[in-house]
Amino acid sequence: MSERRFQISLCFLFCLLGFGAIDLRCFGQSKAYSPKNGVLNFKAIVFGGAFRVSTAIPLHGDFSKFQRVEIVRLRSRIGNDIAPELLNQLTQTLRKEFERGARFTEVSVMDSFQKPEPAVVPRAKKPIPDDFREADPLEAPLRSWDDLKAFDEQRRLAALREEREERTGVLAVVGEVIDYAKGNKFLQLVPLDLGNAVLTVRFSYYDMETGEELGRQVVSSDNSSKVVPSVISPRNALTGIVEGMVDQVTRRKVAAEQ
Amino acid sequence: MKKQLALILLCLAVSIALAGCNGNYYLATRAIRQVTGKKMRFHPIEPMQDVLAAQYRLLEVKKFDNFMLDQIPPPMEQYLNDRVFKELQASALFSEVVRPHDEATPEEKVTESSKPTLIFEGAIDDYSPGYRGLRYLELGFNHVAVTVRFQLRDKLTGEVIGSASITAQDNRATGSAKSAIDRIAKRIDGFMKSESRKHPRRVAEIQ
Repeated sequence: MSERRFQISLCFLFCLLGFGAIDLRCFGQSKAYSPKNGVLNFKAIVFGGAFRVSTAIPLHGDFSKFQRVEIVRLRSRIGNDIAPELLNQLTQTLRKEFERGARFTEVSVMDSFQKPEPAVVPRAKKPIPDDFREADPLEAPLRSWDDLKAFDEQRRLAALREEREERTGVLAVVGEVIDYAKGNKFLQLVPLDLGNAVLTVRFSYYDMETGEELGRQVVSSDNSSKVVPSVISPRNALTGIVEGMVDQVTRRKVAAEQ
Repeated sequence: MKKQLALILLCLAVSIALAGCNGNYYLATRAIRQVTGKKMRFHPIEPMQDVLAAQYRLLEVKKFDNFMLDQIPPPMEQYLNDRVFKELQASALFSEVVRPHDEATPEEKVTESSKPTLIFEGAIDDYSPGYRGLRYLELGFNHVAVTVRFQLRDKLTGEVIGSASITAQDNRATGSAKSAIDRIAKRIDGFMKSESRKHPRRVAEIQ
């Protein structure tokens, strides 16, 4: 009787493992993206790092065209209450998270952000003359002042065009820390939301080709958890911010690509 | 009202059930959160310069810029602006507290003054009313949060005298955005007063 029970349990175990393997294979093959719910999810309840996203300007535009992400080093809007090391850590973690997602071919960190000027010359409709590139014959008479001024203008427009072509498909992410509390790891051992670390960042997304602000969101996160104390938890407020922000961009890109 | 009460009772019932039917534990944590749930974070950006009370008699309070756009309901934005204005008006730090000429209502309008004027201006950086149901359940990222940043500027020279950022957070089940705004207004006033107390000679000068 007990041998039969053992056989049944063994069969059940093999079935489970089989289903698990099939599931894993399917998971590995498909690149389906499931958006994250930061406010209430099991992982955050156990380990902390829940987050909320408040959208001031909803993300709009065609995100499928973006192949590169430029993360501008995060700035503090709360003076010296947040250490530069933490800002740097947050920037680098954002970069790594984008790279891990592998939705963009290149992810880079920029020191500063300069909003590109809106388009002045319509591309393709009216080709910019490139006369300034052609050398004059030696025997040709000297050009007039007006010609030289026209060449200067041509040079300026050509430089602008080249710059704009370089910036096509680049999404810039600009972040500012608007609230931060370091928290207290001893107080956090009492599961009563005491001494939690809190981090709130405002993100703006820009199309570097047109200079348009494609969205503005505030992402906030803390390290309160119901099960694993934050001292030993792998998740914290920083993890929540990174997860929340990258999720917003990724879900938009995935939706646009579909 | 009945609907709200029913919702509260439902939330309580569910949270007690989730807490393993341990009503005592839930009540204890709920009570503690009710006491400790009001949180405030103050970040000085630029320390207040010594000149605050000495030079200025007139404070011009501008409306906050709204970086959250539609996230904050217009009545709540109005409430924040009014609350801060009234709080500053009630304090005895400045002999006159006015709205800028273009923002003032007809009864608030005053004639342009030649007195040294300090401008109070700022921005709403964050606003979230949170999730009351989740606060009752003690689950998830549910708290109320309001963040404003402000600065004091000399009207004539444009020099920034001081600036800071304040976040009011409320983890209490009964907490609301209005109560968070009230605390922000009081904290701004408290900040101005504490800076003045550092220079008692100047306060005396004003009075």
